[in-house]
Amino acid sequence: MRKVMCTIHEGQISKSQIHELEAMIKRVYRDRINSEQPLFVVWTEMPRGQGFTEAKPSRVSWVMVEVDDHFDQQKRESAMKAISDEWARIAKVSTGNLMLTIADNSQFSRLAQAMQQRIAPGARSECMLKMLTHLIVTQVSEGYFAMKANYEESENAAL
Amino acid sequence: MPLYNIACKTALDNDQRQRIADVMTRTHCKLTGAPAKFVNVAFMEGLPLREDELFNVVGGVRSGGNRDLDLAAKLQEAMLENIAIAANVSASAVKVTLVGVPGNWNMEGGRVLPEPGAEGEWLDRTEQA
Repeated sequence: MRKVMCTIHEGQISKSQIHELEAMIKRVYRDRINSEQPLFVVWTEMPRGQGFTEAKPSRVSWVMVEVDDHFDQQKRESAMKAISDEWARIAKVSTGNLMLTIADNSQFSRLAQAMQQRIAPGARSECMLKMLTHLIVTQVSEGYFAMKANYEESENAAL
Repeated sequence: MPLYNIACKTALDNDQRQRIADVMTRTHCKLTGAPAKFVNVAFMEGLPLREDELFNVVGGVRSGGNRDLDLAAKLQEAMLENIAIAANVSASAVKVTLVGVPGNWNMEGGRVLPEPGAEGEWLDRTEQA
């Protein structure tokens, strides 16, 4: 299973566009990257005021796609171009509103591990449980997997 | 790219976020020479970080080109110190981890990003397109 992390900004992309974008990413992945590898796409919506580009409120969506190590560069660029163009068409934005990374598994994992390991060891199990619960709830209610950008204070109080 | 993901133990107000985003963008550009338009900062708040940490930054930054291990170490140190000053906390309460990603694994504006140090030509061509 390979992963795709999509970070978007509150109010900029509708739920129906999220569905369409996710279907597009899966289609490009199947057609240009790996037709056999299942793909797990997770969406995070940044609350207003929490995302910056050029030190200004950001309108850039950040997408990172995981591929096998030593993935062919020509195929990588072809897949990036396809996703970038289709993202702009579906989200009705310019290609400048997407920062796309197609990263080998080893680098993708290093980033993911660094993010996981910053959670205090004693809080990791509960944090993971809350994240998994939210993923399942959003899959059922919205039709896609989503994570929160923030950990609610009420949730912290319970730790 | 870069994308700096900054986890904060408590929620910040808009002024605090702006101040930190400003200093992170300036620090990155000053040390690497990259244009400010490349620099992205995302805040995640209320995370149960390790006891001694108030801010924990994970940065995906381009590697290769004119960047070496020495520059990466300087960037990490300067980022840590400047965030601490902007947030008015001790440097020991800030942790910064940088993960290098080759420039050509990234696309912005429909174009593959250049190697670090070759941004001028890339920007010229992007603006002409």
